[in-house]
Amino acid sequence: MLKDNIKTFDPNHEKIFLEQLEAYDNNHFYVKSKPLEKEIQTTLNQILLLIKQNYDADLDVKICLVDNPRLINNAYTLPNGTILIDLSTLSDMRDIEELWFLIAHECAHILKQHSIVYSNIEDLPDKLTNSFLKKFSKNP
Amino acid sequence: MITFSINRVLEQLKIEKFYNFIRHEDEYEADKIAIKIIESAGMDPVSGGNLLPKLDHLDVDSDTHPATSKRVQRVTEFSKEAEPKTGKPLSNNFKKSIGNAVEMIRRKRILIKISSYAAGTVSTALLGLIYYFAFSFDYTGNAVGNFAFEFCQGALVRIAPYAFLILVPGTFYLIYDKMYHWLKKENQTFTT
Repeated sequence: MLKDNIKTFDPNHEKIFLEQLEAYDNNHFYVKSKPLEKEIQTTLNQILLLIKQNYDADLDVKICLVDNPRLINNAYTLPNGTILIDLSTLSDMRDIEELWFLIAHECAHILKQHSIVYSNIEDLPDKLTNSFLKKFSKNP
Repeated sequence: MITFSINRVLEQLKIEKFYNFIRHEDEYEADKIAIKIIESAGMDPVSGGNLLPKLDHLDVDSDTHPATSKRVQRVTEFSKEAEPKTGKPLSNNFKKSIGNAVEMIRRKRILIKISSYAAGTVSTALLGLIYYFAFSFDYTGNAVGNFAFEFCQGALVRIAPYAFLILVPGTFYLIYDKMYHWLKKENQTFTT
């Protein structure tokens, strides 16, 4: 059911959403690195398996590494199930548990559909941002 | 240049507005679930929680901000052990690849800066040359030709400073912008 809700986003919305995010923050550099990709994918798979066991939810999650000097030490989740992790967050990590914590925390946002809930808040003071999120999301 | 600066300020404001969406209770709930997942994997959530002060969306720079200390308190609340400690270290390969990625991005940013400054310098030099050559020629034709030449020369004298003001920063901005997007899009396909 949860997967279905996330899938209510049109496949094209992911691209549009990322483009909109780019417009919001025009300072991203996307990072490509094989060893990073491998390690993060392994961690993500294990976390998704644990979520399935503990919460009976089958999540569809993608991770994208970015570098942005103005968003230091941060990671955030988009309503379509994409997690953006800032490179400086990874470079500050000391142990494997921190990587687990970060990915598990962001997966929890997807599990609880926080981003989708945000997009349905009507009384937000910022009309511009509200209309932007409304445009690219649907009711869960 | 003015447009460039205004765009930067507006971007920053939009990012701040984007962050207004973050709600304390959601972060709290996500922390709780993350701790549960880590514990079910047989790992230590307190070591993972070392990351929290750095991750706090409300305060990423200051260690003393109340929001940060509150979040550290949360980890100690949820997890079994109170003191933060170090867990299993990250693999050397992982650390090395982070270092490489950081270095790659740093080089790209330097390249963008150098190219935009170079473009600014070249455009300034070109304008200087045009200005110089315009005054090094002396037209010796008929009266009408002389008048036309002096008229153009006079116009150039008046226009050149404004052209300097517009073209130099304009070129700087254009090159910076184009280079930035070109280098940025190079690795845009990466998703795990």
